[in-house]
Amino acid sequence: MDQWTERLSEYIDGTLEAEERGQVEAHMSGCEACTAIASELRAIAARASTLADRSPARDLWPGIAARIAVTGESDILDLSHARTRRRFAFTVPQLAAAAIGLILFSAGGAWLMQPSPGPAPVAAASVPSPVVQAVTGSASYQHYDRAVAELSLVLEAGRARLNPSTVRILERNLRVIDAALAEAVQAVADDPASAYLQDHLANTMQRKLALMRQAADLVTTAS
Amino acid sequence: MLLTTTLGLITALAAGAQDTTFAVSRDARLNVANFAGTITVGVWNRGEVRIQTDADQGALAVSQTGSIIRVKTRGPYQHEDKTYTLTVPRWLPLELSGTETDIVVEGTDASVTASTVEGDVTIRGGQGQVMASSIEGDVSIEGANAHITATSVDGDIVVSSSTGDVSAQSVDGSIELTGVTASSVKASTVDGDIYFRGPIQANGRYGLTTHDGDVTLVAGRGINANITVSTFAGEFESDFPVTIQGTTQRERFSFTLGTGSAQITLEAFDGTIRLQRGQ
Repeated sequence: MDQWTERLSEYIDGTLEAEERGQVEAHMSGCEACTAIASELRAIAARASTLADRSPARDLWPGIAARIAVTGESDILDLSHARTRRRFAFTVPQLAAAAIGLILFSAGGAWLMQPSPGPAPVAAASVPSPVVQAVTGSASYQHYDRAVAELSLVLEAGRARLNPSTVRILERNLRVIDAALAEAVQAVADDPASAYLQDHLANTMQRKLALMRQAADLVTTAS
Repeated sequence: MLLTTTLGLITALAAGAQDTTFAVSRDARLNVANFAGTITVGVWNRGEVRIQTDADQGALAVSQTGSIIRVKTRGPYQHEDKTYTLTVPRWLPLELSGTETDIVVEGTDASVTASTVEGDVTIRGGQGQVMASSIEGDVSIEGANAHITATSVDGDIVVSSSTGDVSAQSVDGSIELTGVTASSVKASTVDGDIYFRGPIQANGRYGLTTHDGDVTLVAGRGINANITVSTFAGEFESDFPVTIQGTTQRERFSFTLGTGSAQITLEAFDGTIRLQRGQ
């Protein structure tokens, strides 16, 4: 993947400055791969435009994306009386790694939908909580979801260029991240006000995007 | 064979001629690409590069563009398993890459960039900038005095006995930073443990983050840091006296040791966070 590949989405969206747009077009005139990707992105955008919008209950994304600092002074807990090795434990909420993740990350899982051994996916039987609906319905989340979908397309198109063992490794690690995402989403649903959980969810989503971009780079390098 | 590199020089060596030495200028950089096999780099005090490869492995191509000297195999042999053994000036910056390739660098005093897809990366030494990455393989850096960037997707990362800021990232692997002197450390993984042992610098920033794994930070008795601990389904253990400050949340709290000059962030979504007292 060259420096222009990641700008193609903006190019298709028409959000590039005139100079950058010209540079992208000049690049595409000599790059068959980017021309093909741009064509595919246009098709995705056309399909996406036919989908009905979902109205988010509220946009949680700013809270997730923001770094929120703890301020104030309260709830002083003095543990200095304890002995040399001091220890305390949090309550341990039992995580229900539910089907929410499958609902949330369906687009990102597109590249993973190839036949593979292992247990069948859990049916998405449960109704997403309002918090999850709010996250997934937010404009910012949908931007993320679209980025994942676009990268999935690139990866699927270039899948055959990679060593099968590399594909297996990448898929397995995407599943690792997806599992973490599912847990993080469930945790945010349990405690929507938690700055840590919002940060953690945002960072994990970024991690997934980073890995998919890395995989896309491999596809480009291998071609 | 001794070749004096000049701008635009392209040297193609026929199969069988797999041992060559050429002089390099002080501003040169060496770029080596080997699709599969190994790249092993050692150093000497001569201003020359020696390249040895297995016999019967096709044509070795050495070219120079500007200050960059490129070494690769050309022709139909380029995807076959090959061994590159290089001896280089210890000051020569290195850019090493492969796909199904193990990379080993021993004793360099220069910057190193090493990346592979399936294979381990081991670097001993390095100055300025040391970047090592693998998709499926372990990354090990020892004795560097550099800004260190180490990444692996499916492998462990070890940085030891090194000085310089560290950024280490894995997905399914552990991260161990031992004997690291740095004012900035960022280590994160999704499924794995993180361990850090080293002096905490005044005004330094240290962030250790995992989703499913334990986080351990071993600090000296004289630690001066503001520490923020975050976990969702984990525990926290401390050898130091802890007085929680600020607004305590269900999953996050902060406390100060000493003057609090350094900032430490320890996060384990589902794992134990340990703050241990070292020597």
